[in-house]
Amino acid sequence: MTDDVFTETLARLSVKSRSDHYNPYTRFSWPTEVSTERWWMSPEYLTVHGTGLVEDENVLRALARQETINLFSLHVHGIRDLISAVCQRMHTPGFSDYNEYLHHFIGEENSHMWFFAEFCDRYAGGLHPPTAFPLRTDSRGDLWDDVATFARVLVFEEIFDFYNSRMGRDPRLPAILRDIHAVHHRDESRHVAFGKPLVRRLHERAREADPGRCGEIERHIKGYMSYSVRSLYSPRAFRAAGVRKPLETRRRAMTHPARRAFHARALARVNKYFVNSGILQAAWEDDDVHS
Amino acid sequence: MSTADSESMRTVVAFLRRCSGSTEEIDGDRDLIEARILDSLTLVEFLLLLEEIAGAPIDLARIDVDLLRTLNGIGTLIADAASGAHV
Repeated sequence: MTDDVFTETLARLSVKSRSDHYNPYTRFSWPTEVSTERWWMSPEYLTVHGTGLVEDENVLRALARQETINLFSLHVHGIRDLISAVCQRMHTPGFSDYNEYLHHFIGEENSHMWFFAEFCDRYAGGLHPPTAFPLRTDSRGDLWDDVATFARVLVFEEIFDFYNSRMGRDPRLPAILRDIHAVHHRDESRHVAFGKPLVRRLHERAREADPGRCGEIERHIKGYMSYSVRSLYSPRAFRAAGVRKPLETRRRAMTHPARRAFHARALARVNKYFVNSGILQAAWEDDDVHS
Repeated sequence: MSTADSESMRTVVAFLRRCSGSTEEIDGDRDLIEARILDSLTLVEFLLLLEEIAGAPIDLARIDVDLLRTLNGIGTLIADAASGAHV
């Protein structure tokens, strides 16, 4: 994408963000309760689906509730950290071209954090706690940190969109959950359209300044893709749903061929994008999840 | 100060080697964070492994997190968790 085309894309996305703008605090009709008789997540998207490891439908329905809360919690904790990294870059010299759209991006992500947390607070007793890293990690320098930040945002958004696009139109889910997924899906399609040319541009800029770290950033991005897949398999969700031997079941589910195929599908679009952009020299593979 | 048994530590070292893609020896006092053998993306999985080895939960809020920096510290962490010192 040339600079002119990217500039036009940014202007178009800003116009779209304005026209699609909604008030998150009044957008949803929150029911008094959400039936536990319904599937809270499409059963084909449960982390044990296709593995035969859990067959009791009551446990599966409980797991659907718990994995929905895990998904929403991951979003809130993950995007909080990522948008704080984006905020630090706004109105700095290297990001002057993107300020306008970044304001829309952060505003919309703030809305998402609110409605995902609101659902968990209303119907599930709150979010699952974050799994924070308690020790300092080294920086790669400003330009490569920019690439890592926005590449992580892109991976994050693509995985969520894989869930949202399906859950938003699954009639087995309660209306409030379908609505949340559908609203998020609409916003994320704009964010992905912004993120892909941005990450490519940031990668080119970093590579020109410091070409020796391409391999390191490739390992980091692949590591983040694997980390994101693993985070879908929450031991807390397994325990709360009544799954027997939760850690062992989790490990067996994660390595099951049916699930490995699911991981590949969930990451297919962003994986292809990274390879076609030259950001990954070799595609991410599910083997990385288990290393 | 107690420490984990050698089989547990072999499991730990095998995990760390897979993470880092290295087959070299890891000294007991080597800083795993500084050496980039352990990072934020692998920590969650690593803690779950330690919980399985210890047979007990490891609560980040209640441990000395600097123990995670070295193999010697990790050995102490596992032994303490297994004996219920963190509970």
